[in-house]
Amino acid sequence: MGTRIDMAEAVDQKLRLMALAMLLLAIRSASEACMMLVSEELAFYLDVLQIGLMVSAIGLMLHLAYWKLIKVPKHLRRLFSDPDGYIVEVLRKSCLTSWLSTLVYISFVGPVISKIWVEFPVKFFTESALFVMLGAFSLKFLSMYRGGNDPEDILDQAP
Amino acid sequence: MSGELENRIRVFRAEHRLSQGALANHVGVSRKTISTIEVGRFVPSTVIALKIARFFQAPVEEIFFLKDDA
Repeated sequence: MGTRIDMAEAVDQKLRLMALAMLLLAIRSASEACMMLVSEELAFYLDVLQIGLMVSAIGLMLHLAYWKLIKVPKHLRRLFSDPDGYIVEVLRKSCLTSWLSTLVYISFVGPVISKIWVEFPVKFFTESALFVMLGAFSLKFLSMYRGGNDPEDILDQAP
Repeated sequence: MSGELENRIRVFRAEHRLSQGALANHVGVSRKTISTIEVGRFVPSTVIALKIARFFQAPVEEIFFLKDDA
């Protein structure tokens, strides 16, 4: 029974990895946007940072996919997208937050920035919009799915 | 979440000496689903409420009830 209990807990932990991977991609987009604002030397370091972030994000995604396909029994895979589960509520709210943040950025913040710094390339705005979209999604997801706010469960230590 | 739906899952778990993870596996949901239902942050679907009630072999209204009925 221990393995079955571990699976219910492990699914929660692995889903956090997915949000973490998205947060890494958001930081990568932010650093890509920043490359246009910094010196050439610093841009080199940002480039290296981006490669690291991209490799880490892909690694997390591959790990999650491998774990889901190989380690999780078929009948338990529905835990990742169970329409009755808390995960769907988290995804719904995270997507809404992400969509609203991106809409606000594209509609209001983006045009203001483009008026002030007219020489900025389009890539800056696409990368910064990606940062807002991915960052808002992952932060909302992680804040709703964090483990630290779980109620005290003394019975979780029970045999 | 709604602030109106209360539950006695914690009491039933204690009676059955059951952890959140164990209950989650019996019901077929993630542990987070059980823990958030327990604290009232997530209102469960009818299906999950019925599955929990069936597992504890108790009427669903004995586990889930509206605040005014308490």
